[in-house]
Amino acid sequence: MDWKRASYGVEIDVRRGGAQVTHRLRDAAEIENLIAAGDARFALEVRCPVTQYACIRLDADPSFQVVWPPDEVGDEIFLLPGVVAVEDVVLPAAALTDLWRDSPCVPKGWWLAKGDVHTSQPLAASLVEYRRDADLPSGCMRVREDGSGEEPKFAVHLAPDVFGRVETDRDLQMAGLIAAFAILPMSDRFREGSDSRVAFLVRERLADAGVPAWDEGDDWDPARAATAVERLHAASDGALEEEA
Amino acid sequence: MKLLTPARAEAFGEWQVDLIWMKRQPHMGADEAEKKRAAVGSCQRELHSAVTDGAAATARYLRRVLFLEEQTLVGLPTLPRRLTPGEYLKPPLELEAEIGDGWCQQPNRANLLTPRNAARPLFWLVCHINWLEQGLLGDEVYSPLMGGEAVAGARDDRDRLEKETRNFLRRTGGLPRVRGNVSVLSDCPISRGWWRRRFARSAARHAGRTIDVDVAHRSLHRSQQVWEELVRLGVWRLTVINHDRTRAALIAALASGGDWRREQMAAAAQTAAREAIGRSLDQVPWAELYGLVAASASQLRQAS
Repeated sequence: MDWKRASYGVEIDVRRGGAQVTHRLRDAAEIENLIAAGDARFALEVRCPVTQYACIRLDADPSFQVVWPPDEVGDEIFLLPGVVAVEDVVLPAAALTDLWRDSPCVPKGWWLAKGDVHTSQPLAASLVEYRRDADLPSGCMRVREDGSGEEPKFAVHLAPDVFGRVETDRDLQMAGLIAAFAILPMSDRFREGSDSRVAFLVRERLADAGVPAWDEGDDWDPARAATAVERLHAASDGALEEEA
Repeated sequence: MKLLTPARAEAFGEWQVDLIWMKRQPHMGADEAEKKRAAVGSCQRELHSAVTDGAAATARYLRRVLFLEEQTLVGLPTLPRRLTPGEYLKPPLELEAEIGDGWCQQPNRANLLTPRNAARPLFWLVCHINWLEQGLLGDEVYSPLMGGEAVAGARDDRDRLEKETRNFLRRTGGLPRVRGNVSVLSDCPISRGWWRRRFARSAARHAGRTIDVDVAHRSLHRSQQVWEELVRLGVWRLTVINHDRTRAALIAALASGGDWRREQMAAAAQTAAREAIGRSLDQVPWAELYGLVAASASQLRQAS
């Protein structure tokens, strides 16, 4: 929408099975008034093309949780945030750009603000990839940085007898993640000034948890850092609970 | 023991790669390409031999390539009866309804049948192992799983083997390497039938009581091209149409619009997607949403 001053942003923190969404409006009294009056809502669309799934969650609160049914979605989900009119509303022309001479009446469903599309991959899944390595002895693991992609990633190689368990064995997943964090400081992709989105998100997550980053002092603790990104027991914190 | 593990998914992917000759091999020299082609041919002949030996041999072969030799297969949907090759290749409407509705009612027995799993070719391939072992596809399985017109028109033995192999992979779950994520929804006859019935049930629930499940299903079953266009757009290009109400509007318009062609489904879906740029279709009144998509398909029919 062609707002003169209003700006809209969103933070989406993807966890296992859902996301915590926080919408932010600035200089947007007109939109806030519509929401307060019940004529508009904060929105998050969830789409999974592989399973042909799509839904939308509306809320008057700018901060809410969204949980998606795990059996109905695949591994990659797209999240589309915004603010939507839930009634036919008249928008004040004074709040809109000069393209609008009269106050337009927009129909129910009109997007008053739209954010960038996000994807659902949890940060840990962006950081590590588990691979079967036939050259490893039974029960062994090794971790190497994979510099082939646009974003930094660590390849956790697992012996064949272990690889089969990785999807369900959280201890194994965490062992790989901790090992990746152990070699993270040696990666050029994580140095200060890197334009990597993943590096930025890791730094933000550590800052939120009060955990020093890899280049802040000599006390880098890969286990503490890894468990700031993914808890050891997902059910106690990392996963979002289904709302009643 | 879990069936759909990462290791098995990896084995499945590698198996499909070994079985298919992709014509474009830009980084391969002529000698290397010929060597690779010969290796592919060898794998294809092994598959062909298993299939022509019959259902039991095919099942054993599949168990071996998927590392499932000792595993009991539980939690998988079963077919209501033994299918003829014709029924398997083009399940009649009633069979799709029987499968789709029947499997819905078996949540405890078919607990692996979820949309998540049903969107995976590996899942349907494992189901096929079950059906082969239970004799539900007959003993002679070459016709349903490999044969067809394309095979009959093959240029030579090598081409025939390639076509037979691709038929097998598409029909038993899908060939994502060639056809992408739409393959499982479009190429595997049983999977296709399940998804069609699922969409029909959803349409009946979300179409404001303007359509019932059997009418919706019949409209989706009528044309393979129209079905393929609907799922292709939903997977690749116009994901907004996967909202239940939007898809219901498309299906209701299809049901009342007579014989649509692929282009009409595309036009209707694109109209919905264009509208969704400015409006959340979830909030658009049903009559308006239905009218939009129906009108665009109708206009295309009149124009042509």
